[in-house]
Amino acid sequence: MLEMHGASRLLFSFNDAIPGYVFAGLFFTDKYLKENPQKVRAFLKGLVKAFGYVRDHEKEARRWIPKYCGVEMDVAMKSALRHFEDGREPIEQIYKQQNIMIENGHLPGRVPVEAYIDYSYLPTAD
Amino acid sequence: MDFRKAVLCALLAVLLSGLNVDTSYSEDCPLGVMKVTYGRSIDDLPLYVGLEEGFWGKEGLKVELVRLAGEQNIIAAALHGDINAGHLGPPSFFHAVIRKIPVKIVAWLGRAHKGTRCGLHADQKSDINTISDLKGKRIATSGDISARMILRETLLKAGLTFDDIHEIKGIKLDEAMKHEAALRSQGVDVISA
Repeated sequence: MLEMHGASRLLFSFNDAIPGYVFAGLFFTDKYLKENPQKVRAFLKGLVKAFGYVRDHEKEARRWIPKYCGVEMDVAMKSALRHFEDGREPIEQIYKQQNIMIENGHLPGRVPVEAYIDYSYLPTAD
Repeated sequence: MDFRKAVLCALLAVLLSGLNVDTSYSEDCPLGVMKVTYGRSIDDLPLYVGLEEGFWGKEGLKVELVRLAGEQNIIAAALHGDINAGHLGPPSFFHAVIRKIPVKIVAWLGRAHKGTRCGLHADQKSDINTISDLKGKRIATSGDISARMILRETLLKAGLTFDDIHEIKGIKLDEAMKHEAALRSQGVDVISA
């Protein structure tokens, strides 16, 4: 957004620093997953469709940004988007980011996370 | 409906609510309602698309987006049942695992790529052209763990560390106009946003 206003130029992107950086995950509580598996599957089915829509119909998808983000349409049409795939990311990437946290002093040591990531509610990959 | 029936219905609704029973069924959304947090950010575009293009409606689900800031608040709201799904950055996720908080990541919400324009921004007229030029400069960041990780990795590319720069923590990522003002007034040399 800064660049679009002519205020700045990008020196180094987040992707230059940590390629493929995974920004965020969507979580549910264990209790909710256990009690509402059908709802969670329905939600993720719709979410993965939305990922595909953003990839394949980017211009049309961007039309909704001003309504929810309070930015002008020209900004909405040019702002960089994340890359959305199918909701899954390689575990190596997650641990790569964890290792950087450890090196940076933000984690005491390796934290096994496999038991806290559950892709079984996502639609099957085509 | 007479008064006694109305009171009974109200009491029943309160009772069901207290028992955490989903009372949101309707023919349009047989699966009921799901409350999902969002950050009023462009990064949440798939959530806006899912709503506006009716992808969840077609699945029989009504999704309500709830604006909630702060990952600790989001976890607390989920554990309390005020929301059903929320965002969590990897750093907060790792800490949640350490604390054995009973949550699961079920999908990741996007990654950086070659076209990513988030990063370190210098003023258009600045003489900062390479990472090496950051030595001794004032760099504004949100100060959160992700921002520090990315800044550290950036500095390392030029053999620099946090000791070589002046880090100014606390900028908010959704205040683009303030970022612009800070750069133009030369209050800071570089902004991570």
